[in-house]
Amino acid sequence: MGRSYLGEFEELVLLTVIVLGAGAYGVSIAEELRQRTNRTISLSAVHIALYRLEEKGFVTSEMGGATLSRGGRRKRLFMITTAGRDMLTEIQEIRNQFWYAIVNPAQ
Amino acid sequence: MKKQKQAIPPRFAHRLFRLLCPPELFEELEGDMQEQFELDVNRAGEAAARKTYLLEAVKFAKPYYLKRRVAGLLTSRRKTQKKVHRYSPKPLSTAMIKNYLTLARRTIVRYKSYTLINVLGLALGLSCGILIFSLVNYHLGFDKFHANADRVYRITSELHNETVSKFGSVPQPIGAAMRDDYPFVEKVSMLISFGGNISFPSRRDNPKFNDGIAYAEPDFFHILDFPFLIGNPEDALSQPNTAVITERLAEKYFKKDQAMGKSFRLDNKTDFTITGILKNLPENTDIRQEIYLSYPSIKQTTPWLNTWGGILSATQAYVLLKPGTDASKGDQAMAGISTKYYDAKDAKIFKFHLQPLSDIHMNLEFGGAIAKNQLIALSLIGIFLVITACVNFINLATAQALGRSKEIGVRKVMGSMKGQLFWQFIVETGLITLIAFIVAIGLSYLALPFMNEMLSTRVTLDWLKDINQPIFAACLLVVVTFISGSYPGLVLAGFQPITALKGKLTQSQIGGFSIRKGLVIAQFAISQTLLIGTIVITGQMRFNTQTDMGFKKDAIVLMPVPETSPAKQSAMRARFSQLPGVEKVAFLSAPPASPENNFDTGIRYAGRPENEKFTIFYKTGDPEYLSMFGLKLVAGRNLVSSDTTREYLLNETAVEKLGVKSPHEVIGKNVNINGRNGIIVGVMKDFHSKSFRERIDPVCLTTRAADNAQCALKVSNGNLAATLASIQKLWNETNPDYIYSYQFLDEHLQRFYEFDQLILQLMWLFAGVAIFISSLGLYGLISFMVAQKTKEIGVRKTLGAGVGSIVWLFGRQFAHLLVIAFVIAAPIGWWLVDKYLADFQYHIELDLITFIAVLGMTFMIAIVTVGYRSIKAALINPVNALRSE
Repeated sequence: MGRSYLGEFEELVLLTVIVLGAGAYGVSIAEELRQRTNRTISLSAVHIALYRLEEKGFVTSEMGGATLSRGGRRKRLFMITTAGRDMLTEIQEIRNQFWYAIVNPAQ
Repeated sequence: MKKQKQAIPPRFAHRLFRLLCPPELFEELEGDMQEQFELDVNRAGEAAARKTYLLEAVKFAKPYYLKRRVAGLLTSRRKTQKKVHRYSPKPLSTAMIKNYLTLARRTIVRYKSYTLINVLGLALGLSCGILIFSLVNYHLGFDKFHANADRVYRITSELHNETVSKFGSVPQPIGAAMRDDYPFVEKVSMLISFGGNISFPSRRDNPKFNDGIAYAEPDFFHILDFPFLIGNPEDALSQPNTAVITERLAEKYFKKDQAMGKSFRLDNKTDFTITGILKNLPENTDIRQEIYLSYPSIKQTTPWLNTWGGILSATQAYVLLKPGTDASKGDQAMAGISTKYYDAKDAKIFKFHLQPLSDIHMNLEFGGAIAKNQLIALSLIGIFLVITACVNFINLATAQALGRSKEIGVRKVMGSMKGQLFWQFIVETGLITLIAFIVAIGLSYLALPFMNEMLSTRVTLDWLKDINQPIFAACLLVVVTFISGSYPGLVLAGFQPITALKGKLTQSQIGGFSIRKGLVIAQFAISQTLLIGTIVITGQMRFNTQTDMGFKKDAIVLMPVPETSPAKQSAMRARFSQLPGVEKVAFLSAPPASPENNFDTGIRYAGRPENEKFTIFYKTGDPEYLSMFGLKLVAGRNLVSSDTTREYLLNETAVEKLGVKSPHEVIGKNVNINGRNGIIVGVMKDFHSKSFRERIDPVCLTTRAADNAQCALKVSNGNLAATLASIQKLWNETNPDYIYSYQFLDEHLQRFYEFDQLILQLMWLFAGVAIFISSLGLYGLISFMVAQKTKEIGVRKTLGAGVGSIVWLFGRQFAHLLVIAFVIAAPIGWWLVDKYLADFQYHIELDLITFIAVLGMTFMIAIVTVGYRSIKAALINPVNALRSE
């Protein structure tokens, strides 16, 4: 099996999942992203990213309890996995190397 | 606290979302959508929130969700799913369809007799439907494949004498006239067809064949599309003595050899060289000749044809009009032919018209095969049969439903929805229909050759070649399933579970009883009418063959005499007389009665100035004629074999028509028949010269060897096979160039009634089908009644009723229905058979016994059908019947 990579949007969603911690689900993630990126974020897109991340093994999910506010529907809560964290770290390292190379072109 | 009005997302958008959202994700996604919506309402107001919601919903139309949505329809589980999300099963989801199929299979296996009866009834109705459809489809598809079909016309003639007679044939010169005179005509071709005797004298074995031939102009193959395999029309058919044959005949005549360039001889006279090969003719064309001879050859073989005054039935003219020609204007212009080519008197008699190609097959006036309204009648019969089969199915199914009411009650209590129950019945019906359909297709394939033989058609059931047939079959399957499944489905699904469980269903919940009765009455009325017809026609047919026609017709063999010179005839006579099994030999033009070779001509009696007002049948024969057929003379003497003095025998009818009182008066008088003078030497006792449909006509008999066309042999009954074999051997020795054929006179006479025979066979068939279907209807009704009256029977039995009185309880009702049906059927049947018999001058009398027999027969059928069910119902232990609560 080839390695899984992350798309830009997926990376953002994954980061958001870490930031939100225990309260990460569709709406909260979308809201967080809207605030931080100032982009138009659609729920459907967020969910696709989440399901893809789940399929790639970077997040896990479970159904939360029902609340009154959502018409009685339960939430699916997402948590980051170790593989997810490793992936983000790796991406970060690669980027750091690049930035270092940009700043110190002589090397 | 004041309750705040809850903001609701747009309903349409919500529905769209539900439609697009994969069911297993539905809960979390809907929750998120709802929460987002509530957030938006607080932040931006309801209107904006609704807009966003709609946009969000639309965005779920992404490939990712759509893929999962479709996959969700096909399988209910997904690997990635952590839990099976609960959702309400739609009536037609995969799981439910599986469930329906399982249940349907179980029901079918459990109620075997019910299934069998339903399958048989439906299969019969469906196969009739399929056969009738393929027949109608076949007739509608005639000569449609020609590229220019809409511009092709055939010229027809009308002869305006005292009555107007119409022909699809024309005088031979009309083709050339059309080509020269009318600018709107693009192409013209004559097509003149004959029977042909084809032989191959150049080959050692000299095989002989009888095949139809036609003289055609090269343009014929441009007007109609009969493609050439080898050669082209211009090269192949412009020279005299050239011919084009089909692939099939090339194979038949020359085996594997190449046929091109080979030659054959027509009627032992003219040789033709094969200059082209045609592809085999399609089934759906009325043009059936497979040998086309070049048109110039006709001058040589049939020179007498070239006149405007005579119309030979085999002469047809096809024209291709120029594009955009108004056919009705063209038709009017055809009047010019009459005025230009006929004198003033004949111009009033001969009229010509254009007949569209599509009309040829459907127009009986010009010898078409079948009329459009006959096709419509046939289609109606087909629809009626299919509907009756469906209604019978409904009858049985609803009757069955009473027995299954508990099952339905339980299922409803367990949470079945109406839609699910409905679909379950549709699936059940669909399965039964499918089985019936497969049986029906099998039946149709089996029955097709018989149908083709009976109707002399070439219908094929080739589903790959003709797209109409599979389309029809698919439609039939769906329609029948829905017609027969939906009514029981709706009725059953609509049961109140409580009444269903208590077994308290009543008639009103099951649907009208009188409709069922009406249907059974209608079915039986039709069966009885058909039975009356069948019995009467059978009786008339027996009358036709067994009644004395006034001459002997047994043990007489007829065979053709191709060469009629007196020397040849006496040579044949001498050799045939020596055969041990042959008692008598006679040469003649036609036997006393014959469906063919009847020659009708004028007569002038004893110096009267003009021909008589009637015509007389002219037959020739030698002096053996009378004794051969056992004809009696009432006056005068037999003919004497002589060709110099002409002698005539008349029959009694002829004498009467001449206005002479006694047969003895005409003896020795002069008479002119067919333009030849002679003397009347005797008067024959009347005999039937035609079928029993017609009165006895005036007939005369004379000796004229040149007109003899047949040889009649009286054979002794001992060792017939050996006699026939030696006759054939002798015939072949004396006529080496011709094909031997023979026929017994009584069989020959059967041909008068070929059509009646066909009608009779069809009647038997339809009567059989109708009886079977009405028995099924009856069976459905009795099942229904028995199911309904279980309690009543129980109560009656407890109160001391015997089996007999219980059976009579049902019997009485059915006797009632049958009598009502008979009251309808008898007058209709009477009227129809009376019309049929009126067509015969000599016929059987209608009697009461026929009608009583029909009533008796239907009663027998009813007793057999009803008896078993009602006796079974009567024998049931009343405890069981009453305990069902």
